[in-house]
Amino acid sequence: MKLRPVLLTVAAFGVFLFPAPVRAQGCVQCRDNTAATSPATQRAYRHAIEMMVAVAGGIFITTLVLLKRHSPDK
Amino acid sequence: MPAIITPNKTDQDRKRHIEDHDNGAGRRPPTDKRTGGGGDNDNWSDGPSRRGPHERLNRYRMGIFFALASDLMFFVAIVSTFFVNQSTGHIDAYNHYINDWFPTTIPPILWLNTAVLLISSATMEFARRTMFQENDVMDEWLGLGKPITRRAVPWLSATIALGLLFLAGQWTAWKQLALQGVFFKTSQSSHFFYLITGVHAFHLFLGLAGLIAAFIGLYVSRQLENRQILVDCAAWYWHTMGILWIFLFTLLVFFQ
Amino acid sequence: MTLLRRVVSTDHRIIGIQYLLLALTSVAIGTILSLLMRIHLVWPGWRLPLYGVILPEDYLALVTIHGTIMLFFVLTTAPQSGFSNLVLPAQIGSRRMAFPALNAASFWLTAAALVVLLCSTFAPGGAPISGWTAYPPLSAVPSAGPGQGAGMDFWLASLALFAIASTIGSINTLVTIIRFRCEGMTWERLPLTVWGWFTAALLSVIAFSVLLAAILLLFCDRHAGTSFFLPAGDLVNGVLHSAHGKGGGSPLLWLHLFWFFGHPEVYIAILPGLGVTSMLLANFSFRRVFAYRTMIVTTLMIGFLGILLWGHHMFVAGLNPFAASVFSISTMAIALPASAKVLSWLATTWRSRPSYKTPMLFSLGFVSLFIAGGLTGPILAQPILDEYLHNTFFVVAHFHLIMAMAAIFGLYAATYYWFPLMSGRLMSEALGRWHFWLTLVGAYATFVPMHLAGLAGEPRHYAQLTGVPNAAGVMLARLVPLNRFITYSALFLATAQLLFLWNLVRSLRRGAPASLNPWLATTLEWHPALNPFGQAAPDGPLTVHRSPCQYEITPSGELFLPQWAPDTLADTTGEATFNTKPE
Repeated sequence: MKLRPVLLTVAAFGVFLFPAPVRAQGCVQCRDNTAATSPATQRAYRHAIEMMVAVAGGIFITTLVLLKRHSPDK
Repeated sequence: MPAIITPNKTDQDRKRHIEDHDNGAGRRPPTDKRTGGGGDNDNWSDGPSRRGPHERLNRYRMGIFFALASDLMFFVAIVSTFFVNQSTGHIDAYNHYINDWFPTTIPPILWLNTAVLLISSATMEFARRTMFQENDVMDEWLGLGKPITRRAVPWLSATIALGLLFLAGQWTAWKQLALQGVFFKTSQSSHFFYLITGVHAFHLFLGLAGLIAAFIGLYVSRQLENRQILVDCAAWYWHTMGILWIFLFTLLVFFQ
Repeated sequence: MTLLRRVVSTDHRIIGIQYLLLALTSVAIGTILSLLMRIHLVWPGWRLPLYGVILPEDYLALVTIHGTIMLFFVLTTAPQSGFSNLVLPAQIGSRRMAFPALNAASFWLTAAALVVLLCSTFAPGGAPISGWTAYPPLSAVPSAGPGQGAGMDFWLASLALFAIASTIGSINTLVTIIRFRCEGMTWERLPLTVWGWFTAALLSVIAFSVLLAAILLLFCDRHAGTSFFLPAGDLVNGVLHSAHGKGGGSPLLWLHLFWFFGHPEVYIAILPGLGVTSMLLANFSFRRVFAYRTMIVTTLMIGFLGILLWGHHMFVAGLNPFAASVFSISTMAIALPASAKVLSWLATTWRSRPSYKTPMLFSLGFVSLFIAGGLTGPILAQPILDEYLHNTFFVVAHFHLIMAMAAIFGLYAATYYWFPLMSGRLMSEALGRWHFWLTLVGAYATFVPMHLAGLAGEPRHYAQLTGVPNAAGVMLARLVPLNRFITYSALFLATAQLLFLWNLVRSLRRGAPASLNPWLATTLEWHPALNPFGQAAPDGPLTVHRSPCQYEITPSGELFLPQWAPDTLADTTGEATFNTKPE
């Protein structure tokens, strides 16, 4: 009886092992626009996005840690 | 004439801020006593620093940290714009892809300014630490002169002077660039040079206002804890702006 | 001097009420603007009294000001600042906030921002016409339209003020929640409303400064001759605009910065509503919140994912298609915590014999609208579907249902629920019920047909549907009857709100006096010592003994255990004060 949830979990993770390959999605104009953009610019956008996400995520998690540390538990 | 003289009405309604460890009996010393509590809400030796002498200080500190975190996002947004604009080119009339990013030469005086700012951060740290020297705190609280103010004021004044020097240095740098014909609107990279240094200078301007407020507070504020808070928060703000400047300066010097 | 002190109060409850009044004024203005738009859309020849015919640029100005007012001054201020000031400190067992002076400053800056925004209407050229998103290059070039000169500058100034005000207010909220929780208030005992406010405040601290940076850059583009957002060879109205003909900027950059702020902003508007709904459903169902821990985690997850998915606003704006895939996945991931929340709401109320008071009705309405509006979210999250639906009324319908209507229902629930804490009186139940049903019908009748209009291809921001001379014109003309229906529904919806106003005014003076805990609530804002209309408050520290919404059926009837009741009382079932049947 206990096998079923285990099997289900394994199956769920198995599905994650075979994701549909991530393909470019978007409008034709976007694709053309991106194709016309130099790789350096594309890289710069990627770095900018990553940087903003990383800093914002860092602030988010740090605040959560602060909230936990100032817990009034006795 | 009533037989029992009732105390003044205002006295009864006196509003107490328990969160500020106000037990209704006047102020208590702000040093960290380890001896235990005396009355309600006084059990600050039990837990972490949620209550007790440094509660208010820590609260203001946390407030300034959130403000600085928010400010960090402000600068991150500008820096990410910097990276994108730096690498953006366009196709000109002759169908050539060109990227007309010409790095702005950094005026050498900026190195000097950086050193000044670092030193000012150090003097500020001395000022901040003097605010918490236990013996002096005790003396000052007991009313035996103002040893803290006496020791902190020179460091604080030095910081203000160095901060002013830094701002003057930045002004000189802008003048030097302007003499070379490089203005805010000249090129993509000069936009960013002026924007980044300008925005940072504005923040330092606010920081100077904070420092001057702390300076005045040292003489005017009657509560020792207020004085500590003023100096402490101004110091953290100042340090952060110093660190931020190191990053921004590195960006301008090495990553243009 | 006393008058000044009363107006510029640092008391958080008064500030909360001030915020709510500001939001009420704004929502009235915003509603009137939206009605003008609806009327103009189907009767283009209609003359506005004292003004005349609404021109296309007036229509765009109406769109801009309606969006800005509603999003910032209603959906951000009322849930995030208004109600949080009113009850948040009490809910965590504190009598004050961390920085009362900053709190007051935040309110007055917000009020100033509203005044500046309204001033833009009277600027030469009128209000800006570039929508609440103000995409460059049109927003960067004053000659792009009548309102893009001084009006746009007022708009930018207003939003800058608002950004600063919100950041200050959020710092106050965050520090209050972190430092002022009373004894025993652990994570699991913190009401979900507080979790909502906490997450929203955190998002504000992160997002609003990015908006401020974007505004600064745009301002430089407009007035300092820079070209951060101006592309090379930018031609507006036949004039070449990019600086010195080179300009290496990119409008896409504004979209990144703006939506990095704009998307969290959407969650700032809805997160408090999610929290209120969870707590109210549990309160009126006399049940615990189903899966309390999961609810906390999902609130935080929605907040965290909220800062990762801004790119889905740019699927057809020239975003790299690979980035679009990533943003699409992160967007659909947010359906997970959102569905978990819906599941918890349903499980909380399922077979619970709830008491259908007005706040409960509005909370149920919130659930309904949240599902209805949320279902179209994953549809729009697909880049390939968004390519067709982008900039159509489908999007308008989506965000009006989930953000505007759901959030407004949350606000109404909160107003009816916490009205006793503002006035010591209850709002009329009969009027409240009428108000609820009419509003629900009006909301669906207004916004569901918009989906159909969008699917048929009606674009947003079009000032007229008739008189367009090609095939598109035929399509638009065929949509006029549908749009007429939407306009009638919108008028109906707006009229129904008069009931609420009447109820509000009437109940302030003549409402039934409320008992200290009229809803049998378990959270601390109803603690007799914290209730402003309670008996003289003992000012000892408060202690919390259990998680909120603990209702247990005992042989002696319904027993509810407020968070503040000490454990010894939990065992004595016959305790008079706690043995109360719901009215």
